[in-house]
Amino acid sequence: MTTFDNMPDQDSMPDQDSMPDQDRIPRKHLDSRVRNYRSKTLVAGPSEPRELSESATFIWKLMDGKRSVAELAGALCVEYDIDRASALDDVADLILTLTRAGILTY
Amino acid sequence: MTVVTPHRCLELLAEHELLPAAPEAIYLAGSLVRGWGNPSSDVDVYVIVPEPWNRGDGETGPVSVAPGTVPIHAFIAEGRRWDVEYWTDSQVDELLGLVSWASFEAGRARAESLTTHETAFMQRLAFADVVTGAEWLSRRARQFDDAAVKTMIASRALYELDLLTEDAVGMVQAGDLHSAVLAARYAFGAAVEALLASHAEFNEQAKWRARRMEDVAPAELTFEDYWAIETMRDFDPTAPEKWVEDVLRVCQHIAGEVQL
Repeated sequence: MTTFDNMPDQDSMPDQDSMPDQDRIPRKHLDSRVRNYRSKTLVAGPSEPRELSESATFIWKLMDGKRSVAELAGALCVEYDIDRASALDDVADLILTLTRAGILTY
Repeated sequence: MTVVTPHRCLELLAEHELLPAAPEAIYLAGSLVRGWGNPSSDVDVYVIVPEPWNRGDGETGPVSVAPGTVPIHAFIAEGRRWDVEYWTDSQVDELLGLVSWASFEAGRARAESLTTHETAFMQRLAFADVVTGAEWLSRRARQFDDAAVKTMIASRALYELDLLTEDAVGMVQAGDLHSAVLAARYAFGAAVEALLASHAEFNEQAKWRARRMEDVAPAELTFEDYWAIETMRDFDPTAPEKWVEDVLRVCQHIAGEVQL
């Protein structure tokens, strides 16, 4: 899949019940959309916008196409003082949701 | 920057029979006032009047507030062209209503409906040299600063960014790389306009973008990074899609930082 491909990559989509590969790097689709309005963050791909929680917004902002899943989870651990397994769960959930919405490539 | 003394400004307006009897306010604005002037810059004068100015021999500028135009008179003095634009206080009230938060949140306020005269009028309230009516000017500047105008204009720019980004991506996919490069350039312009508007710098004239970036110095995008893309410094004609992707990534970052 290239940077300019838009459709979610079904084969590489993380499974709902399994941990994502921690070395992989999630990338936002180039044409995903984002708005910050009155302390809410909304993101959208080809479908309806969805509002991100505060922690999801934190992860979203760190997704720069360079940070791996492990790095994102590590940053979440520090920011919210949670254990690594919970942080990985949160990152995995967000990646799954945004990949299915066509906002992210994983 | 003092372009001309208030006394001299009033004198010139009177000499050209352009001074109303009881103006609410008169102020100078534009590039000269902002310190961006050059030898050919015009002097922009705003005159706020209680009743419509009807000398009848001037030009008009289109506005969305009633009656749809504002009178503009021009003359040459002190080696420059002077443009004098007349607004009634009730037009200013109507414009304020158009850009209120209530209008914006009800979906009635759209930046697309504002004309360049109106956008310039609102922006210039914040960068004006008062000739007379200092209280009027500071009150109106504060009212417009509190209104939704920044958000309206930033929202429009982000919408344009979305469309141009979508175009650029589609054009690369179709192998139309020349068009993709142009779309990415315009997308970057829209992203920077959104960023500047969110910092209350919403006079969207592209020719002043570098000046405006220097003045605002937004933390979200350094001037050096801005200028590198604006001047296409890293563009490689043998790999245009790489430049398009890099620029769209920067646009995406900017959009993620803009607070509406």
